[in-house]
Amino acid sequence: MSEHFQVVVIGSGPGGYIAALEAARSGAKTAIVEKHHLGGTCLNYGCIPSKALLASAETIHKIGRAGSFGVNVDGSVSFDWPAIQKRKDRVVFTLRGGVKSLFDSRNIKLYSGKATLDGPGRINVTDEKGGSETITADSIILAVGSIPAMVPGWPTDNDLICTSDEALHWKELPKQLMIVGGGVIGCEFACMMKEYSVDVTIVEMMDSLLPEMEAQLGSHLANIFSKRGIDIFTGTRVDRLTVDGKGINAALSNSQTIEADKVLVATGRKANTHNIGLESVGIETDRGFIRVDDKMQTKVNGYFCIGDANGRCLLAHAASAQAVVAVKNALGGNSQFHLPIPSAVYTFPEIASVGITTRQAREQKIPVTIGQFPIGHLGKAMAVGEKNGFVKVISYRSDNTLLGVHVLGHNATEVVASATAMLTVKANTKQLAEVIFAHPTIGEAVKEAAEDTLLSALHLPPRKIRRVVVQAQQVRPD
Amino acid sequence: MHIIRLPEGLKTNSEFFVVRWCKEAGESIEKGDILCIVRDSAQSLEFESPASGVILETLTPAGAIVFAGEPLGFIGKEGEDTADAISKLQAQQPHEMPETNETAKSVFIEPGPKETAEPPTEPVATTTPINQVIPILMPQAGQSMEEGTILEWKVKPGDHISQGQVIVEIETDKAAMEVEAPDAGRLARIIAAEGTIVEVKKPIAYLADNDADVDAYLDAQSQTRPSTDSIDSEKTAETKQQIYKPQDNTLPKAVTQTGRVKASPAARKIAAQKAIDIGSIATGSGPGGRILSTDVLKAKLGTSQKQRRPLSKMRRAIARNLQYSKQNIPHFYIKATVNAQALFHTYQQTKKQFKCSINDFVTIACAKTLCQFPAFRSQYVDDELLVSPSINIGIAVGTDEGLTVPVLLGADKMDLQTIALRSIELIENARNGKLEGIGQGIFTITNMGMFGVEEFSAIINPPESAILAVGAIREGIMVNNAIAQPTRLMTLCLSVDHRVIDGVMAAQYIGALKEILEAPEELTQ
Repeated sequence: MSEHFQVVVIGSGPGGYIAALEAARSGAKTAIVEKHHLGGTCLNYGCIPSKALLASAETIHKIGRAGSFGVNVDGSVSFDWPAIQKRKDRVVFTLRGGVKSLFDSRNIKLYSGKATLDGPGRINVTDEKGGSETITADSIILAVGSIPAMVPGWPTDNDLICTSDEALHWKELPKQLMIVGGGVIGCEFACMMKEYSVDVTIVEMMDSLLPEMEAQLGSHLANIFSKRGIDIFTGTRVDRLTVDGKGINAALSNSQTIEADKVLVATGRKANTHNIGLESVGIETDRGFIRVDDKMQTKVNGYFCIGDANGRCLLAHAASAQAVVAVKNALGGNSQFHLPIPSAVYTFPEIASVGITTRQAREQKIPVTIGQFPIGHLGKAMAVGEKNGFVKVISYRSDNTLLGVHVLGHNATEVVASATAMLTVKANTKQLAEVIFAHPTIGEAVKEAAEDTLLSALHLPPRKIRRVVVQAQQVRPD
Repeated sequence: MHIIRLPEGLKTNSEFFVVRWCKEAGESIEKGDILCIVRDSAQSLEFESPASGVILETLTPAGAIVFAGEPLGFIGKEGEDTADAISKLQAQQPHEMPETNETAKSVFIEPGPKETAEPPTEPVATTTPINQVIPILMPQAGQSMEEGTILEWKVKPGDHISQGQVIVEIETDKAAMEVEAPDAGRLARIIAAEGTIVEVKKPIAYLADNDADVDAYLDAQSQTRPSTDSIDSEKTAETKQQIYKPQDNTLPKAVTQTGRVKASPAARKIAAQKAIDIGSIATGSGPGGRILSTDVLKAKLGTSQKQRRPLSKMRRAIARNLQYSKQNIPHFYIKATVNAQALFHTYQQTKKQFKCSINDFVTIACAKTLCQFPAFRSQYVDDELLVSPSINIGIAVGTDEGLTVPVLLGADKMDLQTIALRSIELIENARNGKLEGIGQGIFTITNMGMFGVEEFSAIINPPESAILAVGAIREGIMVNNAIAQPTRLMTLCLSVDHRVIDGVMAAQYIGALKEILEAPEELTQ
């Protein structure tokens, strides 16, 4: 007799474990299935380990600038890569333990093994030793996540051509690293590896770094990276990649050749939906992703999909938010998901965004007003020696409704929280400008940028007015 | 019909958003009027119309995000159809972001129409296959600036210059100024020698890694440039062409056919210092008889020689403008003498409250009367009358450099105190070389009362249709019912464009003006 649950969650990443906790908190009999480590990509191969490695890198970076703070660091500064890895592992291990104890505290049954859907309401769990067990559920929440995408046709040597999964656990650092893809993962690795004395080259197919984000962020970051000696090729593809005894050779579309001893492929992620028995219940995928409605409901009743696997937004906190929505609906509620999701890039300085970009405004023909404030004007930025960056606020032209906020600068990922809160309550820039921000903080720049949309920023000189004759060009009849 | 675009080279990779349009589609606009205001992270840009006409279509509504070189809309004649042009434009640029990897950047240059069959009207950098030839253009340092004179190059060909470095000193009709390099690179060639006059936005030098690139670039230019018709085609293209050409040294005489003396900049400089008329030196020893500095030094210092001085830009502008006016506008003049006793009294009283002048009273009187007389707000343009809805009154201001006419915009919406205050600002600014509202005036007031001039007639300031010359308030006699009474008098003389306004209308207008000035209490309210 198989055990029956009200809710079974497949995958224990930031979507799955939150779903299980929420379901259990709501009083449902809940189980969760995880084939690997608790915490999913975020905790084991993503957010957390990368931030731990970045923290060590930033420490090196800060020591390098100690002199400018009047602090003398005598002797050579060195780092111990195995110790850095160990520290990261400890952080990850501790957090995994945290998830486990949360499950225990709410009586969530944890199945360690691979889940396969096995007809309506049935899940088959196969453990490492080959043992198999079937459980049944009223509602099944698929939180199976994503895996890094490899470039088809490239050599498959995981030691040399890696994804972030491998790169976070490298035993040895490369001397020359080529990063393919200048998105969030590529930029974070570039920033980190440069501090570990790795020669870094980024090759990005689109015209700028962070091509999905506000264009100004990517171009500003490219400037910072270039000054640190990171080579950046944008608008460039890797045409050919060859591996020989000496290392890796990459032929670029700009006819340059790059040599490297490791390549990090950070071109994107794909849904981890292969081989989980979707066909047994009739769930179809679209380029691997399981499409859902705003209730996180799939086409098949009783099956929900949250997080990376539904392809809506590949971010941990989006998965967590979707988890709560899915569970509410699974338990008979009516909840929908359409709140603004901030995104964060943990380079130093950090980058964070929420809401629409100017590109989206342009494409969707949304009339906007844009305000900006350079972080370097802030007392806090000067005091902590982090003057690089800006805050950009985009508002709806007619009623000043806040539409987007983009931050590059010290603690940007924390700063964006205030903007996200305002965006969530659909505030306008007048209200944002009225909020009192503690002084001195970097967050003050959000207020100033909001004021700039209203032309009332006090810490900016009035805009220079320039008169320019527009260009005219005769239109000739055909 | 013209397509108007955001100028390129404002700031590369920078996005702008349209704050607002000052005129809407369907409205008529004058050359120099502000079309729209856009903003980027650091500045507000007021976009001035390059031509007069009707705004046929705006493509970027307020709030839209635009990039340098992108189309803003169309200007043309009333009733022109833009459908074709728009569909053509859409075919060219299907909502794509502007290319960021330019092959040749250019500053203040007309954008090359991308992949279009339409021949470009300006030197086009973006369509040439030659890499990295960057023209440096004569900047437009003010809305009225049409051309500039190269005073002194601070760099020489072959120098590597950095962005922002001062590379050349130029003179405009307002002032001498330093021009900063818009881009970094190797200065491959200077094509405008010192002393040359160059139209704004025309190249004065090129940045390139080698000279061959410049040749290839210029070749490409000459092929892709079938005509030079720019938007102000009324300008005498031929004479300009001759002036702007790099100096042609094949003519045998120092004096060219246009009467221009061929001399090296150094020669001119020394000649000016020693007050020698450079034209008096028959032939120079330079190529083609060009006068060199040594020729000037050899030349005798004649005491009886007339001095020759080049016109300042401002002088030239005044000369050209007023000569055009007097030759093309059929002026007629009518005079009226106002009993200014009450006006003088009111002025004395008002002066105690705030700083004001008699001219401010005249200005507000004109603003009020102009509202009632649309003919005086009309301009004769291309066999049409353009009627301006706003009362923008020009005030003639004499400065050390010459006559300027800053414009009081929307004077009908101001009370006396505002007019007084704004006039002081306008005049002060004008004396400091900063002109407001240029080209937007519909009527000008010129007042020589302060110099004791009793009456005078003025030349209309085109494209306006009338100008009022105001004389001094003087003591005099007025005969009322056969009794002579001492009083104060002021004579007004109205110069009118007969193409627009007939005598009766002019008489009615000056009558209304006289009436309102003789009951000045109303003006202070």
